[in-house]
Amino acid sequence: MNRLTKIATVLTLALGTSGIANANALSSLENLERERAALLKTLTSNKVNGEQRQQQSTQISRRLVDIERMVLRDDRIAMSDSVMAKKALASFELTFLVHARSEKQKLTLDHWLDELDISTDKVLQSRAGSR
Amino acid sequence: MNHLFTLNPSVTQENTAMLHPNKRLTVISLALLVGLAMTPSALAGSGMQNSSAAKWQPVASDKLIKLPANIIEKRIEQDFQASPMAMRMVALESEMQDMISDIKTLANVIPEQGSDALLDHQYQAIEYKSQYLDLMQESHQLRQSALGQKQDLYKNVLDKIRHQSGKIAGSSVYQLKQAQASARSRMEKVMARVDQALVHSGAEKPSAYSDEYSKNLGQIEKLKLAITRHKGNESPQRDGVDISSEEYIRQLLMSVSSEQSLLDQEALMLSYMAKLVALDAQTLEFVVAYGQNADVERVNQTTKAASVTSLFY
Repeated sequence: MNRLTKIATVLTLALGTSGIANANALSSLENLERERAALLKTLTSNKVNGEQRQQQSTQISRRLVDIERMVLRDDRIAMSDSVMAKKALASFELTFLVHARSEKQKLTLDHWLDELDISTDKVLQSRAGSR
Repeated sequence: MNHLFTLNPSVTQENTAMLHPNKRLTVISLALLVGLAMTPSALAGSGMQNSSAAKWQPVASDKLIKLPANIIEKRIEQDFQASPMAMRMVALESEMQDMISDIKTLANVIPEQGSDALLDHQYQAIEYKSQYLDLMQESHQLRQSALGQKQDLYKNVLDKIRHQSGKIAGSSVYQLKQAQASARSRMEKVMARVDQALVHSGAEKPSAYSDEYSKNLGQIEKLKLAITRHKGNESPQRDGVDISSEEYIRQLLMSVSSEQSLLDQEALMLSYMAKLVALDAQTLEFVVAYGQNADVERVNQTTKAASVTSLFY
């Protein structure tokens, strides 16, 4: 009886700590943020030509597809109750760029600019000045 | 110590024997009347010496809430049965049964009317009933206390279960879970379209993660099915229907409340029984003091002035 109790306790503890063993619960979300920033930087950079932009953004988008799915399937992110997780999940359109732009059937950059309410007209109307 | 239905033991057991029957009855009826003046809630609050020693102090430990709900109930019941409080309740029950048989035996013996033996018999019956009520009150108090403890314990278990599963609506974890579930559902709707777009963009085969994930998913589903079907993971049942642990504990709380309400009713019966014994004691006290005849004996032989006037002429 005691032996059985011991086995059950040890296994229950092992189950409880399996999440802790993976160290940072938010690491997948941090990876997502890094890749998302890299994608936006590539799309808005004037240091690369059209072909390079296309090639690099496709590479990053492929990685983002996996990372976005990892984040949305990771229960530890919601359980972390962190500000980072709250902000990320508050806006599906901006956080999960690749899936959201497929949902809206738009190009990634168009989708991102639309979400931030940045249009050609607004850019042309804008004036440079100090605030 | 606050004895409601009997006197201080030193008075009842030793000193009352020395008292005149009339005085003993006065003391009993007074004690019973004091007990009657107390409401059921006061009954619950009054502490008796034995009751205070017979305690049960359960704690909703983390170990307890990890058990399946039906086992939680059994574990709590097992813990209670081993407590000094439960043992005292068992002892009281046995004492009460003995007292009932004493009262029944006494009721079968009816001494001759008008004799001193009848008064003694009536006095003995009142004393037995008084002692029985004393035991009953202690048992009632213990049952009420045990139910209160169980109620607190079930509430703690329920709070912990709800907190653990993040089901407390309004909590930030709950909100985050909801947001993630909603985002996941949106993602699943467009997954096929995203995969198709990847193929169009030149990705000939799925990524290692995607490939491995779908392989693992099949195995995970099989494992989950095995866990669901496992006997050790069976859902608790009520009336043959599977229910969640949370619902099971909620129903336990409801049954504790209904038991408490029945105990309140018993407290009322207890106070009525005490009132009857007090009235018996008071009646017997008057009989001992003034006799069976209710009529007042008057002194009729007064000297009338008319009967002695002849002496003066």
